[in-house]
Amino acid sequence: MKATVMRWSGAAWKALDGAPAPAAADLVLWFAAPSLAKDPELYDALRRNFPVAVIAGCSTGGEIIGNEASDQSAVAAVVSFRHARVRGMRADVAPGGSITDLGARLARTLAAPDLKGVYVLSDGVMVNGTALVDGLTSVLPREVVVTGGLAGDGADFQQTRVGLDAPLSPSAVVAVGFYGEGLRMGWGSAGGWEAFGPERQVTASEFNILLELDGKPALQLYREYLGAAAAQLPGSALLFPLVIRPEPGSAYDVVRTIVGVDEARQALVFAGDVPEGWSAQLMRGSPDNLADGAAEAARQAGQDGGDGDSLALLVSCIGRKLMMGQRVSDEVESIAEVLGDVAMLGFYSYGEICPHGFTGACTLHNQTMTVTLVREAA
Amino acid sequence: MVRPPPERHRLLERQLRKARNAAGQIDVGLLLDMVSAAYSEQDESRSLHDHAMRLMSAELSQLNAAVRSEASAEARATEERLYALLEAIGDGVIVLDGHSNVIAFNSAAEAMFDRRRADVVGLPFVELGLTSHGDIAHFIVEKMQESSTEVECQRPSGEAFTAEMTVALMTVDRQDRAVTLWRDITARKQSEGALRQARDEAYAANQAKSDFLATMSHEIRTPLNGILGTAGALATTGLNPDQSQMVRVMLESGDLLTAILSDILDLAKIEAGRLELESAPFEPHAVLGSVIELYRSSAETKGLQLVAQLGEGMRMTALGDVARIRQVLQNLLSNAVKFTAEGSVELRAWLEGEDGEGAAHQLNVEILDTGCGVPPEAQARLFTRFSQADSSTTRRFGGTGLGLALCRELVGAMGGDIGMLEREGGEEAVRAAAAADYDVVLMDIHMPVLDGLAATRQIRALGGRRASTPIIAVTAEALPEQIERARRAGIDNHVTKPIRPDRLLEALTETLCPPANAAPKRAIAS
Repeated sequence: MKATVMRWSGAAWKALDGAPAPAAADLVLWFAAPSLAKDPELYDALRRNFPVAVIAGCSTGGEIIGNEASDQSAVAAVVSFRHARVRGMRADVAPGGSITDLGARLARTLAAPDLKGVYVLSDGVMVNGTALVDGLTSVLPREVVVTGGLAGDGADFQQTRVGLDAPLSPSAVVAVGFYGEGLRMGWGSAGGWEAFGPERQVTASEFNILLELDGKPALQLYREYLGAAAAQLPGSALLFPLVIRPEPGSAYDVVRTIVGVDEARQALVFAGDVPEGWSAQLMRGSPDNLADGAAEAARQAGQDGGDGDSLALLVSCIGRKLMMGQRVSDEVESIAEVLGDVAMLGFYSYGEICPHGFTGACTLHNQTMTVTLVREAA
Repeated sequence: MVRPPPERHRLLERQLRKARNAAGQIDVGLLLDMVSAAYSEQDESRSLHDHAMRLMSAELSQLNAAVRSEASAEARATEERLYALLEAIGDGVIVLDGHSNVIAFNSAAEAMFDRRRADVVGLPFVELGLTSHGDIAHFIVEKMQESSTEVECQRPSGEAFTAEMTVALMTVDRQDRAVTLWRDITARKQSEGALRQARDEAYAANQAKSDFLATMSHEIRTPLNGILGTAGALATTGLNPDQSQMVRVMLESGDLLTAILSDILDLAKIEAGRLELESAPFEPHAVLGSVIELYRSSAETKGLQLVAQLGEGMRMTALGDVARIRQVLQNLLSNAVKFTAEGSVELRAWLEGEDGEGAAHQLNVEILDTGCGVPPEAQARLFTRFSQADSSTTRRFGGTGLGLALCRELVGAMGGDIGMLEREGGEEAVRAAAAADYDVVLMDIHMPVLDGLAATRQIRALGGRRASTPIIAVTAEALPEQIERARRAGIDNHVTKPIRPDRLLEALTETLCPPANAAPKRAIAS
């Protein structure tokens, strides 16, 4: 397996280290800032270079290449396998259609005895990530590693784009299946945020719309905590993720991040479900703690060792980027320090997809750094 | 987590890298912009966190206050329930904590001490001045062994009262509590005091009377001896019959007066608690025998049979005051002989109790006579002073009216008891039926001592001709099974009360002149 990462120069794709681009590729994954994601030239250039490759990509809230996070850029990883195969499937989100059914349909078309992993890129504002994951895992066996993320729109939460073998477009979900006995799919996910303040109860919610905490409008609580930063809602709400548990003290905790606000209902819209009756607690982070969390995710993903021919796919939450500001690269560097000399590519997303560290079941995460380490045995 | 300091400034390194242009030169303006932005980010981040921490603190302190007020509401509810319980007790209740501070004070306590709960709860009991005991904690520990104790208390007005206090110590939620119950017993104390005073006064008056009587008896005896001695001497001076009679009356009256004085002196001694009983060995058989002999001649003079039945056990040696035992027996025997016109006087005595060396025994003495008896209404006051069965008795039989009262006192002092049993009715009938020939006996079925049926059975068991004396029952009972019971006992016929002459005549005819062929059963059934 060979993996090379490239950056869009404004006119052409260029390898990061100045090396020539690989002549042949089986898979190209690419991530572009919203402004570049609309430009069909980026895809066209890739297709010209790699005529037979599966080319999948999405818009972002920030890009990761090498050991650095960047903005207003487009990045790509070009992979050629020794034996493994990949296959991409795309599904469009129909208005009013079931996302769970969509996920299940994708999984059924990809399912095969030697399917080792599925990498998912989904529209980030029209899709309830939890429902999508439910659909995928309802079909796929537990040992198939499902990772990926929801596309981003900077911090604007307006329109995201996803594409498979075509320029990026809104309201699509793309899944890439990885096949072959020699494939190893490592995964890890960690946050580094810490819960603070009282545990509250979700007293009113509808799927991923949180209406009330402890009988009070959810948006009101966030406005109070954000203070001056409330003017930057909904983006600034990412500074205070919410950790939710079935009941206080439960080990099964999931971090949720806000993707929108509903002023009329004084509600918050999350990237995943916030079930009524669950316990919820605000979280806060610091650059150092988040970088530590990223390193932990890398350690989990690289448990069974790595080598120079690996590709590390990073999906980090837009909220982490907002929190860390210029120090956001700290978390990428932390991962590089753990994984060593591997090709690294990633993006800042509206939701990370990865197995849960506690249950092992694939789950939609928020506010985490999620690392998928793809390798092929020699 | 403690991070090792980075070897180089990561962020600045990145900023320098980004500020370098294609020619390798650093764009200072761009670098400074990036550095400034990083500072601003940090400031904003810090102020956001500070704001969040302040809010959280406020929220947590609100929650804390809510939890506390919930807890204090719960505590108030518990206190209200406790007070409802304390109010129901009725007595004053004061609960103290381990430091003797008042933690509960019910309405009854408020009324008793004339203090309001709000003014005393939370204060050390010792500072309230409720009682004359300063150190109540020490006092309570000292008194808790007692079921209750009297405490002198006072009200703010200075008014004093006495309370009976009961203490219970308990541990509630690992806290020591002393629950004290208070009852105002001033009124009870006052009435007790009045009673005690009245009793003391009566005792003193009685004592004065006894002293007076003892003194008087003694003082009278001296001149009386003079009179009796002179009268005795006068009797030997050759008087004519009239004069002799007058002297004899004088001597008898003098003897009676001496006896009265002697009894009065004894009673006065007993009342004054100055009676001393001797404890000397004696043989009851000998003592009783000799007492009986004293009355042998007077009984024979009246034609009375005097019988002594003394059990074998009476020959043992007993300890006691022989003089006092003789005094009692003489009193009873002299009464028996005096009040029996014909028949007999019998003394029965036996010992009861365990055999063996040094064992305690009870000496039982019965004196039976066939005298006139004592009417029921007189029996109750028979053993009281200065009373006789009939106020005319003194005139007919003499006596002081003190004898039986003295007997009762003496026997009581010896640890014994004295009383009388009336034997009449049935028993009388059986004796009469045994003693003479009668044509018919009319038997009242409900007689005292021995009921009619039992008396009938005894008559039938006499043996001889008199056992078959015809018996007609006089009864209010006429139920068939009662008649059958009577027939089995030996009753021949019956008449129901009230007795109608025609029915009585009919019954007599049926019983005494039965038709030759009539079955007895039929006659009874009629």
